[in-house]
Amino acid sequence: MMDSLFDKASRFIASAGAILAGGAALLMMLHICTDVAFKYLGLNPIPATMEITTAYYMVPITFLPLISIQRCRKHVVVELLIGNLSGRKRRITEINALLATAAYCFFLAVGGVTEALDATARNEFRYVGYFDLSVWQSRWFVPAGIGGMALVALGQAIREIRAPSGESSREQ
Amino acid sequence: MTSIAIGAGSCVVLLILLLIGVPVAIALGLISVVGIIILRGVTPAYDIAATLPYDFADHWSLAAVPMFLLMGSVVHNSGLTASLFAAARAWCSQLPGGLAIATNFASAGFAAASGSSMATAAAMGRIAIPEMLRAGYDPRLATAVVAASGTLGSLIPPSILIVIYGWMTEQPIGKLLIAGIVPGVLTAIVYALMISGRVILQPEIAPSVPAKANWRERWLLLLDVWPLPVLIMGVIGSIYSGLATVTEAAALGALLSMAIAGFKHKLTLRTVLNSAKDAVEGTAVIFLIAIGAILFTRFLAMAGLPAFLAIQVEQWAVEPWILLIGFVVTYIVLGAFLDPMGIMLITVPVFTPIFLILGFDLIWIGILVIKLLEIGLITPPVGLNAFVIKGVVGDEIGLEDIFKGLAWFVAAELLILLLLILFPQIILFVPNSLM
Repeated sequence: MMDSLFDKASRFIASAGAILAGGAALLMMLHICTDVAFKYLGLNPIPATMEITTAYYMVPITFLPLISIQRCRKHVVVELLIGNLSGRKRRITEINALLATAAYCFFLAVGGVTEALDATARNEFRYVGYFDLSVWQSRWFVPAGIGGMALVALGQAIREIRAPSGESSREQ
Repeated sequence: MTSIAIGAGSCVVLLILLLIGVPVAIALGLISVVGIIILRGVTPAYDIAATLPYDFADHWSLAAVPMFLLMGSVVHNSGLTASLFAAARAWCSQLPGGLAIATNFASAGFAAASGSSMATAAAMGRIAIPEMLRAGYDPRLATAVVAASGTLGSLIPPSILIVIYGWMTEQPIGKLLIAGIVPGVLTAIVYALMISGRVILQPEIAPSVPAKANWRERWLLLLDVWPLPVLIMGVIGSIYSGLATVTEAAALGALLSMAIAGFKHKLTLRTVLNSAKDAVEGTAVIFLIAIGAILFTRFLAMAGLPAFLAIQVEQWAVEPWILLIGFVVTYIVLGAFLDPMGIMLITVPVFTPIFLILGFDLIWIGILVIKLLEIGLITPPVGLNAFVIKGVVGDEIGLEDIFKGLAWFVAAELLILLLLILFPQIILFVPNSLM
C-alpha cells in the first residue's frame, strides 16, 4: 500500500518536474532566437532576455529534472567495484549511496528554502533598464527540485532496507 | 591536523566514496560540506550550500549547455544522421579498410552534431558493426573503430565539455570551440591512416568490399547528408562571425535542427518532447556534478591545497615539461576509472593555478584536457565507450576483445597528443588568426 503510494507520488512529481523543465528549455530556445532575430531585423530586442533566461529558464532546467533522475537512478556512478558485487553487498552499497544522496540533498534543500523565504520576504527583483524584474519566485525551484530528489532518495533507501533479502527494489 | 592534511585526506575519502558507488555529484558535494564544517564550522557550510546552487544555475553562458544538448537530441531522435553511414560507405569503400574508415568519418560527423560520445557509439554501433562483421571484418577492429571515433564529439564543436571548461577557467568559449576543430579533424585523419596502414599490412582483418555505388549515386548520397554541415556551420559560423554569442548560437542551433527535421518530414511532437526531456535530464545530471565540484573547489581553496601545490611547484622550480608529463599521466590514470565530466570538474580548479604560474596558454591546455578525457573513454577498465559498444553487440564479442582492438586507437591518440604538446600551434593557429 505504502509502496504503491510512493510509486504513484514519485512518478507524478518526477513527470511534472521533467515536463516543466522541458517546457522551459523549449521556451528558452524560442525566446533567445526571437531576441536574436529582433536584433538583426532592426527591431528592439526583447527586454531582459538574459535575466529571464537565467532566472526563469535555467534554474528550473537545472533543478526540476532531478526528481526524475533520482527516481530512475540516472546519476553518473563509478561502476568499477560495485559492478561486480552481487546480492547483499550490492544492496548495502546502494542503501549507503541513497542515504548519502538524501542527506546531501536535504542539506541543500533546507538552505534553498531559507534563501527562497528570504528572497520572497524582500520581494527580490533585478533592475533591467525598463522595469524591475521580480525574481524571488525562481528561488523556489531549487528546494522544489533538490528537496524532491531528497525525498525520493529517502523513499528508495527505505524500500531497499525493507525489501526481502537478495532482492532489489530498483524501479525499472 | 593541518588544513592541508584535511584537504589531501578528503581527496582519498572522495575516491573511496566513488568506488563504493556513491554518485559522483553526491560524493563531491557531501565530502565538501563535511570538510567545510570541519574547517570553518556549520554556518559557513550552510551559507555556501544555501546560495551556491541558485547562483550556479543563474548563469547566461551555461545556457549553451541545455541548448547544445537539445540540438543533439533532436538530431538523434529525428534520425537526421541516418544517411551519414551510407554516404561515407559509398565514398570510402574502395580504400583499404574502407568500411572502418567510413564508420570513422560518419561517427565524427554524428558526434559533432549530437555532441555526445556515448550516443554516437550507441547509434553508429547499431548501424556499422553488423555491416562490418557481415563483410568479414575482424570483430576487434569493427567494434573498436566505433568506440574510438565516437569520442571525437568531445573536440569537434559543439562540445559540452569545452563549454564547461571555458566557463570554469573564464576563457572565451567561442575561441575554445574553434580551437577544437583542427585537433578533432586531425584525430579522424590519423585514425583513417592507422586503419589503412593496418589493413595494408594485415589484409585479412578487413576484406575488400566491392563498390556498390557509381559516381552519380555517390554524389546523391552526399547531397542527402546536407543537414549536418548546415547545422555545424550554422553554429560555428554564427560564433566565428560574431553574429551571435555562444549561448545564442546554441539556441539557434537547436531551432535550426528542428527546422531541418521539419523540412525533412522527420519532426513530430513526440520527437520534440522526448528531445526536450533528454536535454534537460542531461543538463541536470551534468550541473549537479558541477555544483558538487564547485563546492569541492571552495573546500579545497579553504584548505589551501591548490595554492599550496602552486607554491611548491614555484619553489621547487620544476621543469614545465616534467609537470606536463605528470599532468598527462594523472589524466590517463583518472580517465581509466572516472567519467570525463567528473574528472574535468575535479581537476581543472586544482591544476589551473599551477598552469597560470607556468605561463601555459589555457586554451591550449583546455584542448589537451579534452583530448586526455577522450583517451579515458577508451582505456580499460572503465572506458565508457567500450561498455556502450559491449551493450550494442551483446555476448557476440567480449569486452576484452573490444579493449584489445582499442589499443591501436589509444596508440594513435598518444601520437596525436604528443603532436599537440610539441606543436601548440596546431591548436592555437586557427582561433588566434580568426578571433
